[in-house]
Amino acid sequence: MDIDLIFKIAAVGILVAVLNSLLTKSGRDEQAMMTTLAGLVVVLLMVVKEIANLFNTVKALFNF
Amino acid sequence: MELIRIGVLGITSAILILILKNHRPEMGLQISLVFGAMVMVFLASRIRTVLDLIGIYVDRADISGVYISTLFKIIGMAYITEFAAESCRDASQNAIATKIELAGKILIIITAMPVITSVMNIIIGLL
Repeated sequence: MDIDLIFKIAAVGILVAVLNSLLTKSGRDEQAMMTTLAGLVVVLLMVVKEIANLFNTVKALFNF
Repeated sequence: MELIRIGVLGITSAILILILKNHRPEMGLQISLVFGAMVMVFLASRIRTVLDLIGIYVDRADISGVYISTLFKIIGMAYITEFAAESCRDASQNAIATKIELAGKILIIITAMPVITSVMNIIIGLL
């Protein structure tokens, strides 16, 4: 139970949103797209780790 | 107190999701996923004591371990199915959520089959 992870994801989301709007305003649509994608992948890695942790816990608990 | 921590964590996540929803809806979904996973892991660690207690009484009552381990397995499968289906429903993918639930139900029936057959055998033996 650490709230840091949720804040981290929110920070990445806000950062990506800001970068995205900046890059779109300056006419670099491809780079904005790449930033979005990179942010998504970074967050997805954190989320996958947490979900794997959950599934392993359930597996160990109910001895699958 | 742990309940207060979960409540505060949930409210914080909801506010962050609201902030992010307009610009990055997928990040909001990720936050709700992480929150769900964290709460479920926490609850799983708490429910272990209850399962241990049930195990002790099963041992004392001399019930076969096969039945109770099947029961625990089914509870675990329901837990995982519920989590995955609700996450998909959060992303407004109702069709995928329904499929996950269907898969969960079928796999649970398959897991329960040995118990059902033993019940059937007892009933047929009584007739």
